[in-house]
Amino acid sequence: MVDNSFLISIAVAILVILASFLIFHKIQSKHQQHSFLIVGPSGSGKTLLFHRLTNKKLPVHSVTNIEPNDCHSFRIQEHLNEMRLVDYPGHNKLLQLYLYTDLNNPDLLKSCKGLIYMIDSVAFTQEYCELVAQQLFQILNKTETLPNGVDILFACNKNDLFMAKPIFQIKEMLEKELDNLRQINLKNLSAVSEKDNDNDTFFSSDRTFSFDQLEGNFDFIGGNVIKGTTEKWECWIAERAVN
Amino acid sequence: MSEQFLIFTPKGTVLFKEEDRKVPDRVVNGLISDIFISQRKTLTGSVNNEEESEDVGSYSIDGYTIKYVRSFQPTCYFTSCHSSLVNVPNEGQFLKDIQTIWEELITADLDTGALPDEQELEKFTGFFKLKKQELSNYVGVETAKSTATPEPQTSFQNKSKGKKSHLAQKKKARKWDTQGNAIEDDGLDESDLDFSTTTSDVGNQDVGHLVGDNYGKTKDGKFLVSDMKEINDILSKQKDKSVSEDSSGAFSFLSGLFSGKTVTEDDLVKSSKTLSEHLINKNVAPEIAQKLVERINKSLIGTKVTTSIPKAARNALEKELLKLLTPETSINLLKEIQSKKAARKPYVISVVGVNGVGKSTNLSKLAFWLLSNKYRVLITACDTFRSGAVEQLRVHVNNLKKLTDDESHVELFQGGYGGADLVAKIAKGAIQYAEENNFDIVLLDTAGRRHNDAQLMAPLQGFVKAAKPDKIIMVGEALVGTDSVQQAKNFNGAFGPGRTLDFFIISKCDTVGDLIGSMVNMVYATGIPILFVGTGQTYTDLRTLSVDWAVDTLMS
Repeated sequence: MVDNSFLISIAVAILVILASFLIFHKIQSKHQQHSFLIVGPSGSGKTLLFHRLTNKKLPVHSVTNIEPNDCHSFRIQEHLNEMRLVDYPGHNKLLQLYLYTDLNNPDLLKSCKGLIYMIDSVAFTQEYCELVAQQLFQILNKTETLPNGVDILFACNKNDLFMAKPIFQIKEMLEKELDNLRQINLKNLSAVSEKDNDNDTFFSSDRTFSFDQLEGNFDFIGGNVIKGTTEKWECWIAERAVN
Repeated sequence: MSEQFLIFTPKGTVLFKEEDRKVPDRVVNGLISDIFISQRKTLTGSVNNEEESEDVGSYSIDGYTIKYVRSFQPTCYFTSCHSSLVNVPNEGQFLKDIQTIWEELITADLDTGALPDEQELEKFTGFFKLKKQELSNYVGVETAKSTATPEPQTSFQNKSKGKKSHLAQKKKARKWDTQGNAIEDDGLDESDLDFSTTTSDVGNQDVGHLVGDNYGKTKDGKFLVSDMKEINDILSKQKDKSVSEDSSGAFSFLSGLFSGKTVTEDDLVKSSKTLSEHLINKNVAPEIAQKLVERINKSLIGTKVTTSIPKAARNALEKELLKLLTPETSINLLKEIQSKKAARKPYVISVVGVNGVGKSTNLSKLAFWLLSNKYRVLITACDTFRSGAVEQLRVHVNNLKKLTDDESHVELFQGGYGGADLVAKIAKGAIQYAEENNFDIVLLDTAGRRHNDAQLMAPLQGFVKAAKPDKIIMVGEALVGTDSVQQAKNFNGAFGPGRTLDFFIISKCDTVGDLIGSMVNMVYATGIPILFVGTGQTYTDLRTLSVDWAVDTLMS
């Protein structure tokens, strides 16, 4: 008898623990944390920015990421809520694995208040521009499915350096390249998939592309992570974190 | 001598950096990209088998050689980089020792992205410097080479000494003067220098209490010999550690429930078997299935999983496949054609493959797609070997002529039948003809050849040299099984040094259903991406590969 009641009480205890665990989990998932994503080509300074924003200090150095950096307790300003900040690897093989998969997740996409696209202003050549446009094309294809799109900050890193491309030029080149890509994409073969071809993109097919046609807001702002001139970017994030 | 030493996490954060001379970032980034992400093993020539083991990898790029060690839980990479011209002996052991010291000293939870404690890091830096000093001593001995045996008699070699001391004959202690000459010294006994024996008394000491206020640093910032002792402690402790198991408390099963279970090798035995069987059922070659499963096992052992182990292994495999099939750089064929067109040069694409895989058919499909984009295409019959090959291609060209608005957009260039010299001549002629007549694209159809026949494969090198195609495409069929590995490998290596395939077209995908394992075989064997897949009999049945689709199909 004693054994039996002991067993029952244990069973009840376990049940209660499980139930509370589940409820807790549900509540947590229901309350969607705002999130900000840092993306961009390899070597543009994403990881350093991530550390500057979360730890307020930089590591000795940084190398190419193999995994994303994910921080759930990121505060841009003291009085604001905790948010999520993710720094995705820029390597082409890993974009598919992490960034594009995550962007396909509607919950994450909805919680995304802004996307920080890091650009190395010094390395910004035509080739680099094509790479950026290519990635951006994929990203926009997903973010522009939302009614208001997702705001994107083009953080032009190292833009104070002598060799850096001016911001307006970066924007111009990027718009041109995206328009180029739009035309080519109309001609490309569709991909194999089970689903019917959903070939409609965010592009209006007959007009020359410009960022104004899109739903999200796009800002090009310069700064330098290593020197710590990131206030403008932080302001941009804070603005969106409040809303 | 090591020029750059780094410890970094997979999240890209460098935790420790020691640089004697500036080494460009692209060196270590190349290592990460090629070895850790793409998992391509590059051949680095002669392997120093004396101390080279499985744990220590080596990679060469741009005149630098990097030795690397990976530690798990938390995952860290230890790399030591030096100019390829220098040979640094014992570097692997050095890296492993540093790894052990690091794991012992640094307690921060690195997996969460936290940076290590500064005091711990300072202590580690001191130890590192000592260890490095030891390594350079060793190198000094090596280069001095005054006697036949370069066996260093420094106290620091306690590890190797452990084994060496079994030898009956005792060597005389040797001192080194400033010129690097050896002075044999009978008076000095070896044991005087052997610190490893004295350290055994304190071998079980807890290292933690040594991190106290007086941790062996003199006023001028130099580290004492006692630190060397401590290093040796740590290193010898590591050996014993593998024997002892961590104790399991009464509630360990609960903690396992909530914080996840640590995966051990035994847990994975069953899941490895099911996964490799699954892959083999999908037409993946057994050896490659085995290697893929080994790869994911390696990445799983020591990690904590919150789901069941088979599920975690499955997820890991899915990720691995996704990573494998995604190309390293995205190829935009039309874009490249456009820029070549702007330079008023024809874009040359050559198609190779085994007999009967559908080279001509897929070439015609490509031509149809290009024609529908208003490009002018010259189809060239470089199969001068099989009778009827030219006529077959003519049928395709006639069909395509009827299907396009302007008949002059597509033409056949042919030179009849003959030997290998003729092929190169035809290819050159076709390119010249295309240039003169404003064709945008030249498609070269080559003869099918058996990949294991050296006599047939040899002319490919000359052909590529003559034609200099912008893209070499290999057509492989989805139907073929294990042989696809060898096919891809042999064709990839057939073009001589400095030239490889650019991408694959996998044909006959409609005939295999979801058994598309040969895609995995070919990509795994070569690292070359798949761009298109053929999905049917008509000219429009050419699709770009969707990696998501392929992975879903493989995992279903």
